[in-house]
Amino acid sequence: MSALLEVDDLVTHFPIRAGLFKRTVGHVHAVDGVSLTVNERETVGVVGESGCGKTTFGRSLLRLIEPTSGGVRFRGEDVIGANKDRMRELRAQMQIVFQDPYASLNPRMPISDIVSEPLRIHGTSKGEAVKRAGELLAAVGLLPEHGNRYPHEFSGGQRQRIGIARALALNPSLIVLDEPVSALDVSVQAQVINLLEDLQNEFDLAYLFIAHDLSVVRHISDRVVVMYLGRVCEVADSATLYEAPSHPYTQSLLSAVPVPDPDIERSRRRIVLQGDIPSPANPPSGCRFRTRCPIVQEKCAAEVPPLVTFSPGQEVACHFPLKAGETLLDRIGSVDLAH
Amino acid sequence: MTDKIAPSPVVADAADLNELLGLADKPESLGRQAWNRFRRHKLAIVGSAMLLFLVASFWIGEFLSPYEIGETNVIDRKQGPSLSHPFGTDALGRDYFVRAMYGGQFSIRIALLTAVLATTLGTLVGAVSGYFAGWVDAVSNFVINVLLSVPLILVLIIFGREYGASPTAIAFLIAAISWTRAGRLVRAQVLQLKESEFVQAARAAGAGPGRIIFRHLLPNLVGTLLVEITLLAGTAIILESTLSFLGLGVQAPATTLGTLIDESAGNIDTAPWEVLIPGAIVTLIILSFNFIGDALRDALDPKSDSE
Amino acid sequence: MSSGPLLELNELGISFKSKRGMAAAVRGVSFSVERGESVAVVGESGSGKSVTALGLLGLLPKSAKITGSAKFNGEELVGLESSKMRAIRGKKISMIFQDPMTAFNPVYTIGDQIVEAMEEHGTAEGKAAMSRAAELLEMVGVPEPGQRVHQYPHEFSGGMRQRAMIAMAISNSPDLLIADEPTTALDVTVQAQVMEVLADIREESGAAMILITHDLGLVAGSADRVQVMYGGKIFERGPTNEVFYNPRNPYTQGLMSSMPRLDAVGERLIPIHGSPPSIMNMPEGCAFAPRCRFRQDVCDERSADLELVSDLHMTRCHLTAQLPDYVREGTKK
Repeated sequence: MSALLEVDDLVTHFPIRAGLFKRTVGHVHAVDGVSLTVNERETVGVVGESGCGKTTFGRSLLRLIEPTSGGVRFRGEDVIGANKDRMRELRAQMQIVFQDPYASLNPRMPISDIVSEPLRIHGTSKGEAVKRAGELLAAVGLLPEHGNRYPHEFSGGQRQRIGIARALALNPSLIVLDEPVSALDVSVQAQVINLLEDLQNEFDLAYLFIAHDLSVVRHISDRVVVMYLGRVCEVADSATLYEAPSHPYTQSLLSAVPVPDPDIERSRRRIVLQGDIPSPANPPSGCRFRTRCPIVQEKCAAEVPPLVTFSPGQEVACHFPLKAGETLLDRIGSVDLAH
Repeated sequence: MTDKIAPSPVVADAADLNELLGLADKPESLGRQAWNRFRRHKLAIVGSAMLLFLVASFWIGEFLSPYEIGETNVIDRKQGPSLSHPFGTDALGRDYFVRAMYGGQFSIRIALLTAVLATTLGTLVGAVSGYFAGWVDAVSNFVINVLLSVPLILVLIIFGREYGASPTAIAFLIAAISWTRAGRLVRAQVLQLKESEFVQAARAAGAGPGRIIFRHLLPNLVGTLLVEITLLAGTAIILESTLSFLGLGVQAPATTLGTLIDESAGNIDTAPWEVLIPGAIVTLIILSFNFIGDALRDALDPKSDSE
Repeated sequence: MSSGPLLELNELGISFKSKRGMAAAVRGVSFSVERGESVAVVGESGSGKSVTALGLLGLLPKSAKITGSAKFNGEELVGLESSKMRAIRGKKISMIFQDPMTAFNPVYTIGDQIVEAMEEHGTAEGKAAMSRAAELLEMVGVPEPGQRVHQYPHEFSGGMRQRAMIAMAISNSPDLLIADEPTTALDVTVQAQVMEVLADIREESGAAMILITHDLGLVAGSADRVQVMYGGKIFERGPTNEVFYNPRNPYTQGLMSSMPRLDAVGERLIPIHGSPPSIMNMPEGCAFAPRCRFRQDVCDERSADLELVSDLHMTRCHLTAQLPDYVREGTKK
């Protein structure tokens, strides 16, 4: 598998302006140095909670938000420095599906136009584009006849399918999926997840799957990146992440996810973190997780832990990572964490 | 022990699929839905009826009247309303009804022309400054603020004297001053809309600013703009009438409702109908525009369906 | 003190006026809640779960028509006059909403609003009320409660606001808490904190809880009994273990099979086709029939009645006896 997308220390800061002359008084450190690789036909999941920067990260890759610094290379070619024309061509290769099925489709355009618009932008004739739109709609489980209907006539799950059809229009190699199923009913989420898996096989797609739902990410991803406050805590393949998570945040996150199994839920000992997630406008020094970390030490405030290889296929950014099979509760002994 | 059933596939043909997906039988655009809501709205019915009646009277009334607009008849001058002259005659013996109808025509024409011009200019400026932001926005904001600070009436008076001879010139003049409201409105909406995910999606597909503004932003503003046009039309009539009343607007022999009021203001004791009639007509026109504008605003708000 | 259940719903029906006539959001819901127990009402959009709770407390617009019965401690809530309803709301039955930002008034401090809740029901007044408010904030785990009690809602984070809402809800020691999607808007680590607070509070005060949610994981962890709602009706109900390990309704089975689980190896999910119906478009007969893999003609004609599967476990399906057993696919050994 060759590297399709390489991200190198990507940083995206938003200036905070205040005062009469809109001076910059600070920055929101939305993405603060993220590096990762996505290979052909692979699914890389990106998880994290509020303020972790995953959505900004996804949009920065496509330059929908301009990154502040860092490198993004697609098949070896520089994306950040690409000029307008080259960017337009690159955009045909990297597409995006958004979270909100109600806001991601223009309410005034019939869906055939919505799906074929990328083709029209890139010079396809109207007739050819309409034909292709019909094929795309069929590929996502709708009918070509539905093309002359409007978005409001469809349910959330169907609109997401339309959004996916649009993303497929230009035959991209990579699709960034920004919380594609979070806004859908449970019974509909599985439809879209299965559809994404099928399309991936049919069209040789790579996915960057951004979500906060760990269960969904675990299910669909080959590898998972865990983000916290703009930085990467851990990168591991799916199985390792679940069976041998090494970063204290990863363990806490996994521990917090409810599982629909009453016996398991009743018998598990949950790690409940104290405190709130700090603001990305004012992140803690050193390791960003230190303010809530149950095993924090002095070193954590002083030095930023680098992302290093911990085991084959697993990288962790922690000064005191947990070994395979070791849990936070083991490390702390019998101290009751909750209060 | 009962036999267990095996599951069977859920979807068969297109009809099944439509039922499954919950789609209505025929596509219905948002425009059609809004039109239906508008049609049923009480204010819409009243306002449209009034406006249609007025417009029809102006043109048909003039056509039907046996008198010419400039036809003077010194013998019958200064008569009150009568059978042969429903609105009476003026100082020069001209039939007032014809003059009022003629005036109505002009007032409506000027009002609509102004409203369309102002809204178009406002939309262009608003869309561009909202979309590009940055210094473009800063400059246009400055210009708008200056325009808003200048007393409208004074400007109209000064320029009206110089250029205000023809109705078209008046329309342009008033539009040049009143476009700022539409401009602000469009700018605010564009600022908000351009962050929508469907606009981001268009950018992600490689769309340039032109396509985004004309295919994505403006179509979603149509409703707001229609409302703005109707309300501006009402304002335009007031401004034009005021100008004409001050003698600075349209000049003779052109007639608008404002000039009629101007001419007859002095006679309010002796011939009150000469003032009241054009005044009443102006009021009715403005009311009907306002009703239509309000009804349009309600009709375009999709939430009004769920009550 | 009555000896019956704390809350008993009987054929509760709620309809709304719409352009096309009355649209029924809740179509005959019956269940009961005993003192101290935790009952979950699970459903997706259009199931009617939130409307049921709002209807109970008289929080729906006047145009809503409510039929059937909802007895709280033997007293009928449906059609109860507003002054009596207000005496119950916030005192005997408290509600916790999904979005704490809109549930609090932004121009008053958190402390003032908790105090108001207490003064309204005569629980405490003035200074005593304010110090009780600070105590409550401490109970729900808000740090520095003495200071925080004088802060405004926007100065609290999402999780803190939710805790403050819980504090306000328990300020008058209610017998029943209704939590409507209390953690949907929160991050998962914060969700764990808030669910823990709810569990502790309930243990201390003995209040019963109705948890309204779409998250089956939450239900598994905190509910004694579950009601699964679909299309305005209860499709299956019973003790949590029963419903999760032996679901006897195609909808429930479908839900269980379609959820990706953290502890499962990545087997293919089995989705339920189509989407939940909107209340304007409810099918004739069984609401789930268009999406059901076991659909028969009788299902299109009429909806089934609730039938017993075993002690306390009931399901609404014409084909209960013939449904295959539910096997959890792809579970780790």
